[in-house]
Amino acid sequence: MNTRLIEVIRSAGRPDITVVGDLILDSYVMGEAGRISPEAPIQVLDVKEDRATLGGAANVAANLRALGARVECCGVVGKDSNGDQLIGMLEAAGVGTTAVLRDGSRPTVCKTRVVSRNQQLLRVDREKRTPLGPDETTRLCQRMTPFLKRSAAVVVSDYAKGTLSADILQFVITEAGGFGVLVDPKGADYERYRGARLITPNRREAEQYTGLSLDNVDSLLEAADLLRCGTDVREVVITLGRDGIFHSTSPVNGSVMPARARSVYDVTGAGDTVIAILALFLSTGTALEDAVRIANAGAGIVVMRLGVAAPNRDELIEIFSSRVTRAHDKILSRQEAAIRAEEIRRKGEKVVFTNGCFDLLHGGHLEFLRKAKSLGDCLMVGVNDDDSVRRLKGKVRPILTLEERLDILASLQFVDIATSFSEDDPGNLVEEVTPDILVKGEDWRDKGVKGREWVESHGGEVQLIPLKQGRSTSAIIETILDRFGVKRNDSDR
Amino acid sequence: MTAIDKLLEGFPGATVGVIGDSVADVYLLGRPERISREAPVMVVLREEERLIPGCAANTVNNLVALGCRAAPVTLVGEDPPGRQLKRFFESCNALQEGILSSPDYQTVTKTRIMVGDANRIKHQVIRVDHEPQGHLPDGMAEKLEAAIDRLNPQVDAWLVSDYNYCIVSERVARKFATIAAEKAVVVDSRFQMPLFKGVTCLTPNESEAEAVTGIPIRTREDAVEAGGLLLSRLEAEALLLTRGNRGMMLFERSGSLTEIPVAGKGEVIDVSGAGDTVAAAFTIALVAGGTFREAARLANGAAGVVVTKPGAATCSLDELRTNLTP
Repeated sequence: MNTRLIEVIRSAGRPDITVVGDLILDSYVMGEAGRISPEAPIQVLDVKEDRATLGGAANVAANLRALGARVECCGVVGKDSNGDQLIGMLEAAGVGTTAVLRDGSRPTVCKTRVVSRNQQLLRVDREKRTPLGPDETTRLCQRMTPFLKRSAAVVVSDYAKGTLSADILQFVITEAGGFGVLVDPKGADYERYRGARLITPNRREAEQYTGLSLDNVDSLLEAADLLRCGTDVREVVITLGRDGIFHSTSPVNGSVMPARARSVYDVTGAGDTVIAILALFLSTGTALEDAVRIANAGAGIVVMRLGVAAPNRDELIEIFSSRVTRAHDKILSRQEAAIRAEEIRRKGEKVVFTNGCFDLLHGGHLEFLRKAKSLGDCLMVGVNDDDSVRRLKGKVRPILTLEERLDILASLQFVDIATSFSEDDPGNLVEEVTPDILVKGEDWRDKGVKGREWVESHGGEVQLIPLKQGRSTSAIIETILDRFGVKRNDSDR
Repeated sequence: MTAIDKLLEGFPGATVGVIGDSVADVYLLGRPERISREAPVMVVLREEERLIPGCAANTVNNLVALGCRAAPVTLVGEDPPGRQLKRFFESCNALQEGILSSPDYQTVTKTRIMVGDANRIKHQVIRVDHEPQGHLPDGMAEKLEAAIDRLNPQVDAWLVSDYNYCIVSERVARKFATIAAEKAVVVDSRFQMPLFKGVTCLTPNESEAEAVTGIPIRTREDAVEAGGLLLSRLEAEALLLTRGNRGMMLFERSGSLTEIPVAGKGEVIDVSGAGDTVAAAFTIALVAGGTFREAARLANGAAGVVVTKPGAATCSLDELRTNLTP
């Protein structure tokens, strides 16, 4: 429990923050690569889902918005459908887009990852890195001006995609109000960032710039000095991936804050989260060390999620609220659950999967889950969402919402992962997770276990566990109604 | 003027209805840039994207190239590839009333990602397919049937270009058995041939014939047996079995069997879409008054042209005429 930091997070207010930089659409094409093409010796990916998230400066803006800031995002997109989508997503997130220019001479920067079973197969980038023309530069500067001046802080998010010429950078740095400019840099020319307040290269970027090998505090301090000389910044923050975050406010002052994440799934966007959190808290008067501590917690949240996902203040507060494993950590999205399962398998441990509605948890459930857990190392429970319970059990069910049911299950010692699914049966989820052991109640013996073929064809097995007679949620509801003398109206069901 | 020349003269007057699944064959061209930092995979820098009409849309393209008017009955999604396919149908002067679109349907796209440095051959590295959910949006089956009924009086023949996505249902197949009593119905069906009983002609390739008859085709005799069996089982007037580099076999109800060797001397580059060309040329030739045998010869000539071109391609009337000249 860290009441002081919780208070800092709570009282940070809602500052105006402007983000300037390369706007990127991160796109994911996900599916099964189960066939060889008849035309060439290559895989065919059958797409099951197309997903897009905000990337680059747009992701920094979304992060700031999720943290409660009032955000204006400035940059350039093309006059194409990706551009429409990116602007629509920014607006849906509550980010201002007045200073997003449409430039017909370039495509919206889009990185498409072709993914199967949580493995990337290929990435296709669409971009044109040429700098903005003089007219576009003038237009962008004009549109940004009012926002820059009134901002509590300005974040520059440089992905070297052409938006941030030296001219535009100097304009932004000169015009910025409040705390000043925080820069997430790219490339070799850091002179362009001269006059900024704070710079946040990652280790690789800082090594490239300084030529040093950054593996201890001394070398990091030296790098911070070189960065200060080259850019005139006051504060240097170097993100170190699994090793945490280094920060320094003066040549004699610098230290490494170790990373909090226990397992890293996807580092995409962690740097965006770090600079967003620093901007929000520094601009509201928080000391750098505290801001870095919060940023570290935020980075810990995003790297445990697949894709780019912005944490909010409640999630940050929760991290500083307790030291025990929170039930929250066990509740995962389908995608996250599949990744976690893969990790566990890679460690040589067995993933046990079962599913159900788990509406009003009872002794029968507990005994069943305890036995299921004893069959392997990690027990994952797939829970029907509210709509699918309604379809399966009638419109008066579920009694408890999905959130409550997940929370209750995740609070059990022997449940390791709880996730939800919206289909009537868990067949798809089973295929995504590919458990080593698929567990069902013995009542399924003759009904055909969904996913059996998949699991067996992937080297797993199906186990049926005897059920405690007479224990079921429906029976409990009947008992309550009987005891309290309520006449049942069957038409409700 | 030979009989064949006379037939070719008749091509421009024909109107052929095409029912089937339209597919966007997309070619994404790029160059290899570097290895990604996120995962050990190549990052491809996209240079260009091209869309080529595929499946039923390729059949339409082939009909139009041969000078005939097409009346497609098909469905596309209201998405960028769907809009591009609609523009294609407009540009080729096809009758528009059977071209349906729905926001609840995703256009079938097959995106070939082709990668290579500038001035080098680009290699396909992966294909990314968007296939439909397996069923039509609500009310769409009725709309497709209504479109067939509306167009039927305007067309001289029908060509079913069925790639088994979802346009052609059992009901639709039965409808064409009825229509076959009044005009030619040629069926090119990837997986659903048994649904089409009593149509004019079917144009399977060997693997399709194998799948339906269960006869593995290795020798000429196997092909004769499988073709004959299909013809009688499906009660068609004729059956044109395409055999890749071994030419074609035409089976007729009279019992006659005609074998046609591959036409043309050009090097075979790409056979994809050749089946669409065969069905298209065969159907138009029937409309122009040709016998099954003449139609098969023309179809064979057209196939000989498109296999010398990369991707799903078309054969023009002039190219066909040249290829048929001994």
